[in-house]
This record gives sequence, structure tokens and C-alpha cells, in this order.
Amino acid sequence: MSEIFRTVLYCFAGLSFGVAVAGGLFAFITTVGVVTRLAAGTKTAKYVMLYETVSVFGVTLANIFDLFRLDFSCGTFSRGAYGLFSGIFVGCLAAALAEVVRVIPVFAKRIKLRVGMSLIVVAFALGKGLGAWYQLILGAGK
Amino acid sequence: MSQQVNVFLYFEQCILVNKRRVLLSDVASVYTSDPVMKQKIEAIELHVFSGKKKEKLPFCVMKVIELIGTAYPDVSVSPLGEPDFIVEYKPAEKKKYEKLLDWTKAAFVCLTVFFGSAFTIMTFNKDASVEEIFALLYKMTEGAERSSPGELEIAYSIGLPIGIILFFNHFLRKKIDSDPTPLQVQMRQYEKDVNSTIIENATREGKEENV
Repeated sequence: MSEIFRTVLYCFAGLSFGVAVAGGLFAFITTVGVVTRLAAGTKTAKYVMLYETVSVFGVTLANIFDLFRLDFSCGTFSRGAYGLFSGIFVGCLAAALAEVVRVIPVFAKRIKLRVGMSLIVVAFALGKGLGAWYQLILGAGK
Repeated sequence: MSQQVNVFLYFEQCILVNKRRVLLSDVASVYTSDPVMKQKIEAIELHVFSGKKKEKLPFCVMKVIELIGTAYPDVSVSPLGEPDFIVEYKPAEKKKYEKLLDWTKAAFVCLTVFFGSAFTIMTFNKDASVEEIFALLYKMTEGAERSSPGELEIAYSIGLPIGIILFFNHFLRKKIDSDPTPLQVQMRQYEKDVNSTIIENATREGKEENV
């Protein structure tokens, strides 16, 4: 009896964990505006519903492969695609996050910076890229 | 004293036009009690775009009032809606590969969103130690540790897509209710922010089509 009870409890708990995490995660992604920015940048705003659907698949599949440690053999090309596109996404996320919390405008205003905004963006991107390179490829901090 | 004709104009914030010659009827809805006057006012020329390239031009409603005022001095104009608006000009001729380009870009964003959200949930699971929490829960409720994933993981994996679908309010094209999805809301919000930034920049630099 307690076995069944436990299973029911697990199912209920797991389901609500999933719903809560999904809500939180996607509220965050939406507020930060990554997908919006990508759609605006490529002028494909009419496809936002498609993008939402795609993200459902992305999260669901990756989560299953992750939690159940499934084997997913694939070649260098697919791995490269995963790396590249998740890199782009995280890059957008980082930039959008910095924008939402208004780091750069506040600094620029404090030091009365009027020129070189585009340079700041380049520096931001280079910094992120170099940081990732240092951490992941040179293996710093291991 | 003659009866003054009242003209009401309603402006949207951003108007997309395809023709080079922009008339007042393209940018505003006009209402006045005299139908002849309505037609005349709607035919007033606001701006002529020069060329083939896309352009975004901010206008102040004052400019419209001035145009009407010079043509018909004895009407009284009541503008409604936005005090500043943007006219976006896009050349009418559609390029053949435009559709293909559109889909290529959409595919690119799809790949980014797919792999990006995949990556995000994996980093979240790792960062928030989801596996350890589940292991802890199994230990709490069963008294012993489990070596393989069980009900919690399965239910969690089902809960995640349910949560996202609930949040985004649709699956594929089936909507749960008639509200727009959060991304559609966010998209409009972003568009509005961009428009008001264009207007404010133009006002600051004095580039707006003003009186």
C-alpha cells in the first residue's frame, strides 16, 4: 500500500517541480527578452509562436537525455552545432541580462561617456569570448 | 462668423507604407462631418520618400496640423492618439528570394532557441543540483539510496513541457485561451520601446519633421 502511495506522491511532486521550474525558467527568458531580440534582429516576429514551440522541444528532449543519462551518439558536426547555437543563445542571454539590469547605461552616465558605445559592445563580446576560451579551452581553475 | 469645421485625426505610433508618396490618409484616420472636406484633407501630401531603400522617419503631429492649416485655414484640427509617429517606408517590390531568406533566418533562430533552451535546462539542472535533490527525496521517503532515475525524474520530465506550454499559452498552433502569448506581448513591448527611442532621438537631434 505504501508503495503505491509513494509512487503517487513522487508523480505528483515531480510533475509540480517540472511545472514550477519551467514557469520560472521561461518567465526569466521571456523577461530578459532573448528570443524577442533574436526575432527582432532577424525581422521574423511573425514566427514567435514557432520559436516558442521549438523551445518546448529543446527543453523536453535535453532534460530527458540529461536526467536519464541517455546515450546520444552523434558526430562532430552535430556537437559543433549544439556548441555553436547554445553559445549564441547564452551570448544573447548574457547581453540581454546586462541590458535589463542597465549596467552599461548606468556606468556610461556616471562617467559621462558620450562616444564609443559601439566599442563597448565589441569589448563586451570579446571579453565574453576570451573568458570562455580561457575557462573552457585553456582549462583555468581546474 | 462662419461655422468652423472640426477635423479629428487619429494617429498610430508606427505606420508602414509601401508607396513613395505618403498621403495623410496613409498615416491617420480622419473624421469630419463634411465628406468633401474629409477627402480633401486625406489627399494632403505628407512626405515623398526619395528612393529604393528602407527608411524610418519620425514625424510630429504639429507638422500635420501645419499642413492642414496652410491648406484650409478655417478648419479646427483635433489630433488624437500619438503626438509623434513614425512612418516606415519599405519598397513595394518583393524580392523573389525574400521568402527563402525569411525562412533561413527563422531556421537560424529556431536552431538557436532549440539548442539554447536545451543548454539552459541542462545548466539549470546541474546548477540547482536537481539530481541531488531527487536523490535526497528518494532517501528521505525510502530510507535507502537509489541508483537509477525513477518516478520523480519521469514526472519532472513530463511536468517541464506542461509548464512551458502553460506559460506560452499554446502548443504548435493550438492556443489554450485567446490571449496573446508572452513572446507576442514582449515583441510588441519591444517594438514600442524602439519606436519611442527613435522619436526621442530624433527630437533630441532636431531631425524630426516638425513645424
